[in-house]
Amino acid sequence: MTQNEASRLIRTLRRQILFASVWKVGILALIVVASVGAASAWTTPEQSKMLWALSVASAGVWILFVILGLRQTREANQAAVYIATGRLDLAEQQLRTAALAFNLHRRGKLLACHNLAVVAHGRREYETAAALSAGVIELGQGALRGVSRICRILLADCMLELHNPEAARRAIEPIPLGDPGVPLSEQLLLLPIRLRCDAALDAYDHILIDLPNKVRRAELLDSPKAAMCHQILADACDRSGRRSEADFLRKRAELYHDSAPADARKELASDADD
Amino acid sequence: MGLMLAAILVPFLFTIDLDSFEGRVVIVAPWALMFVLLLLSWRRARRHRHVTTAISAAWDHAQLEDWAAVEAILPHLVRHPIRSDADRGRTMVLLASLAERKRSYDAAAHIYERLLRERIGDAPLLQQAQLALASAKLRNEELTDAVDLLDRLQQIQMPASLRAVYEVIRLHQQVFMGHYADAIANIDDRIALFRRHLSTRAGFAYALVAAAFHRLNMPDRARRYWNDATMLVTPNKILERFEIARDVSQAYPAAEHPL
Repeated sequence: MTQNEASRLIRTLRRQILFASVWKVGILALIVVASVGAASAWTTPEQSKMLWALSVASAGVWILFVILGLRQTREANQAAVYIATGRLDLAEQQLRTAALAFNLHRRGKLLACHNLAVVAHGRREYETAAALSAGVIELGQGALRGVSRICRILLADCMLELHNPEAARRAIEPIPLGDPGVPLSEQLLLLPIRLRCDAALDAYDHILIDLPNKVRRAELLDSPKAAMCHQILADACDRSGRRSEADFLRKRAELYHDSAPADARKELASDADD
Repeated sequence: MGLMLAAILVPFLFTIDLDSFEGRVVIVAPWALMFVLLLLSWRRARRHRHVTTAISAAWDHAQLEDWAAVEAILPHLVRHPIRSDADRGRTMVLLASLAERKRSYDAAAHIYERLLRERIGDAPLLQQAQLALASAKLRNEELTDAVDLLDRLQQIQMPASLRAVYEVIRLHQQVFMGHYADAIANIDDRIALFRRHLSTRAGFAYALVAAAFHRLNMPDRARRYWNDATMLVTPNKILERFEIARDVSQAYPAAEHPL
């Protein structure tokens, strides 16, 4: 999938979601009005029967769309298994179908779109992944907080790969690191990206804020990412003259993983993300 | 869903006199029933969401080793039945981990055995439970059972990350039973596996390696591995989990933690 295709997909989704909202309100209004009308004493028996049939038909359509929505969500989740096993072509095909199928509920569509972004990221198509992630963030406003947060992290990672650390920082700014409302698994995804962002922007003072908690979380990462985070934290300590902490963190980084030169660090982090 | 559809459509099968009060009631009743069913489904979904959130929170606290918080959450969790197998499995693993922290290894082993007997949870969780059971039995000094289980697990295919955990438990068993030469055989391969897959937890493995070298009277290597171990994990945490390393902690200096 190219960046243009991704942008087109997001535009289609935006139109479909708007259209679905109108449909949703219309069907709900029809159900309520028709059933109240059918039960009311002012309608004739024939009118009541007709209204009742109308309300039942509307409820049927609603139920049909709910079932379709569940199928879409299941397909999006099934594609996640394909992603995990490296069958990216199969995952992309299934996710495109799931994202474009009409549905009253946006959850399934946005989940499919998020998984498409993961596929693009896995293929190192960072522009495409960024366009899809930005689309999910925009369309999932309010609802789907968890998916939006993960998309923000993915978008930031893509922006770092595209050498745009300012955009990366803007993407993750609304997610506070260490907030108890953010699950630990997401904090662990966020930490390496935030540190890389701050290092790329030379914001080393920012890196040293809440250092013990950052180290505590870095300890929970897998070896290559833990090494990278320790190395960045060590560099930050070095620059602020905290030599003993810097030495300690650097020795730890070496214990986690073979030391990588600074330029290769980003590559290493990107591999670890995959 | 079927019940809802039936509730709406069944009245169609009857001839309804819509002029009468009963006729009007028949029209309204299915919708009222559907509303009640929706309300019940919503309550059930809310309960499921609440349980999943609580388990995730407890899991996060366990990872951060905040066991007091885990202990505070668990009684609320187990007060009601947990419907999902995956959630029940994760809760049981949390309970067992808490029992291990309190050194109630027989209770932990009992929970893991039940988890495995009833096959609660997915395949990776069950493999983790098998490894944890072997470790609990070892700590409870049920050595024959522990060794049998470890021998069986050696034959089973498992992901490299779990194989690394297996090797730590095997190493613990070898040091615990005095098989120090076995413990340091292929030590380079073991260290590479620990380093690649255990991240910070490799510190515990290095402490066991240091114990083996210390008892084989190889102080240089024991000192080096104890330093590596304490660089990653504080000596208190190591001794909390592996009392067997106490003499090593007294013989060699630990790495300094300036943070």
